[in-house]
Amino acid sequence: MIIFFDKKFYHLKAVESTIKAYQGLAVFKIKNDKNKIKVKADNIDKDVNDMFKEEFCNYVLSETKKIKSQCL
Amino acid sequence: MGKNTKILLIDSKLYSLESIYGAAYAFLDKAYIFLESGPKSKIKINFKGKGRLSEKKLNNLQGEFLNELLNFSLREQISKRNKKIREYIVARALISALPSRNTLSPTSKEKIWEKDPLGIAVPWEEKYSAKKQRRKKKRK
Repeated sequence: MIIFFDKKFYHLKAVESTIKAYQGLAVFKIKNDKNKIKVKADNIDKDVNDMFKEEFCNYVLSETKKIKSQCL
Repeated sequence: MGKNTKILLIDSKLYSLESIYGAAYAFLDKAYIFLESGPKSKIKINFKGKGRLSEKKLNNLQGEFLNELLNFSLREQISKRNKKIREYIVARALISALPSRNTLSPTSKEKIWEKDPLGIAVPWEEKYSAKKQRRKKKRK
């Protein structure tokens, strides 16, 4: 599974902290491009496979929001 | 577009990114939200309901999200407008919490009091009874 996060909306640190929180559920690879952050998730736990992508993205969004509000 | 999903195109000129984050954060327990760049200056919000929702419920949820977006936008405007007065109130509160020059450290205050150069600490009776006794002795 590959997820692309637009750098306009998502913070790299947020993606990294989400990967740290989800590291027990999949094997992750992260690539930081110019405009996007590419996250590749393999060997996803079967129990959470259905909603893995959506939950992961929500978590990244919440982490981004936290980081942005700290910056203000 | 998958089932249970709506795509919202929000004009970034009308709503700031902070407002979108705020509204999205408030809806994280009700929906899955994913942000992408849309055409021109628009922000594409992929909105997916948690669990199976009917079309009507999904529309309602989307409407609530837009209302929340408007709410956060207004809050942000008010916050910007009141920024100076908030900073002023906090500054006043901090200044009033600072110790004034008169209330220096208690040790230095005690030392000054112990010296008593003007003799203020001497009780009135002692001060004047001593004078009276001296006068009586002189008369004698």
